[in-house]
Amino acid sequence: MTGRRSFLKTTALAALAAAGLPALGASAAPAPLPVRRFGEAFVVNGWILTARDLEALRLHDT
Amino acid sequence: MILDAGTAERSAFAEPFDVCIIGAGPAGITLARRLASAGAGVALMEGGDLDFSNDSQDLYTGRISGLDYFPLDAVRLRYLGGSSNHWAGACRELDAHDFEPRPHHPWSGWPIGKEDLDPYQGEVARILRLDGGNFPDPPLRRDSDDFRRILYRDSRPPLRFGEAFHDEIAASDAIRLALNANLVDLRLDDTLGTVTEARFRSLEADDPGFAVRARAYVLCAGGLENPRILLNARSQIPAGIGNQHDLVGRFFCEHPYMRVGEVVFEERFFATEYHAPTPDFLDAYEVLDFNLQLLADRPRTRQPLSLPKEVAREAVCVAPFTERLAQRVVGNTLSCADDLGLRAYFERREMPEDFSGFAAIQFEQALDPSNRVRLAAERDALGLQRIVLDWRLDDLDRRTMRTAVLHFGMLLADQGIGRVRVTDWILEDDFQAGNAAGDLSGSYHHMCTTRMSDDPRRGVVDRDCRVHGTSNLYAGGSSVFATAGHATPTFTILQLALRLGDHLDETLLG
Repeated sequence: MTGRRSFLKTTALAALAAAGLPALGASAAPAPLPVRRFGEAFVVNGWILTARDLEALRLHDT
Repeated sequence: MILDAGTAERSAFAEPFDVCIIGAGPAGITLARRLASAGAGVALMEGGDLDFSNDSQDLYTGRISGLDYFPLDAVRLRYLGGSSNHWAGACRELDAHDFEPRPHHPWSGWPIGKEDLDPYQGEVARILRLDGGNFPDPPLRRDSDDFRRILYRDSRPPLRFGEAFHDEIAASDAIRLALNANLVDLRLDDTLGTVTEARFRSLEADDPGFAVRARAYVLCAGGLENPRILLNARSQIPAGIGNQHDLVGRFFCEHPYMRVGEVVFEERFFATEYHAPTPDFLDAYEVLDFNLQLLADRPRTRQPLSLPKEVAREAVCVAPFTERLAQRVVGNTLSCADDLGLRAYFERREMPEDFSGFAAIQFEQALDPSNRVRLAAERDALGLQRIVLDWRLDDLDRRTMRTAVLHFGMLLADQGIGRVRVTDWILEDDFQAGNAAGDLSGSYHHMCTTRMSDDPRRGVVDRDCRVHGTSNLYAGGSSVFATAGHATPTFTILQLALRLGDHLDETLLG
């Protein structure tokens, strides 16, 4: 599980950094990232994610 | 026997042959060797020389219309061995479902099946110096109804047909290989159904040329040149030979290759992996066949190293010469390459790049008659019209690409491999943007331009590779593919060449 948590954190940081947003846990509240749905896949800032990824990254299907 | 058609040696081609093969690339050389083994007299006519020359290569110059494509004089090579001279060596056969007609893919379906090519699998593997004759695919990490892992096998180093078979052909009594023999016309009998002679000349301006007569003629000049030859053969039929239904050159297919985007791996990832859809997936989503490639950022040769082995390597490699020699003599050889040893071991343990890579897709292109090789107004040094290649992708290609990428992204998550970030233009279906960005290209594979069908209104050659409307003119190579599949074409080209050899053996010699 450590590897998976590390991976998800990496993914989240990469997604936020690419969007020019502060990292998770930073003082400023991040603006919500647009989530596009394609069937069972969710695309956030270009990353193809699962519903479990959204939950782990605290992102929401908009 | 190898002769130069630009000299008096052309007199060696005065006597009629059993078979005249035009083009000495993988298909032509494989067919010539197969026929020679059956005792046939073969004229193997190569337009180029033993090595590359600008004058010969210039005959391949042409124009592009549609998407950006590579220069037509760079995507193929015109000298002995043909395009095997720049082949990368990746081999895979077509799958059984690639031969089947699919309702969602207009024009699809071969008149033959995989079972017709399977008997040649072992022989092709031997020619290409692959291990064994079959393709055992590795399992997925977790079962999936949609995808399977596939394997490409490599001809290593890639077989250069000209170099590999030069000496055999030179020593052969059955094969007469002519260099610098450029085909300029095919002459037909009064019925316009039988080729009576093929006319050749060198690049010398005042060369009157010479004729080669044979019982059968086979075009093995590649997927762009085979249709060009037929369309230029207009001395008796204005539309060209085999073009009674305006199909010669149509249905040009490439294997579009696109870099999908970056990948973050869950675990350290060193290798290259290939995945392909299951037949059920293709039917359910009504898409074309494809493969998705997963590649680590570092070259595949950067495998994890063993600490004890690298310690041993250090000891051996710093030892005096006699000790290193002794190690070799007794067979305990450890390579002392610069990128190995203890330093490499510790560097590789810390490589953060091992967790990143990229994904790429290569897919079967939709059959579209408007994608075509046609004649240009410009003429080459031999007076033959050059070509224009019309190359575009259509809605089925777009649906295939987007469906493949999205499901592959989910597969990587389901398999615990990682996540992929796709390039914007893929989700926007904007091929032009991808093409302009250099993310979308072809694979140097030219297929389907004289495609195989038993129906002359749907194809140029029949199941025996014979040009419809003729009795003794055949085509070999990837121009006869009825559909492209996703696999690299060389393995199938050789299977078809051996099968054509069997057919000519039975009908001409048997």
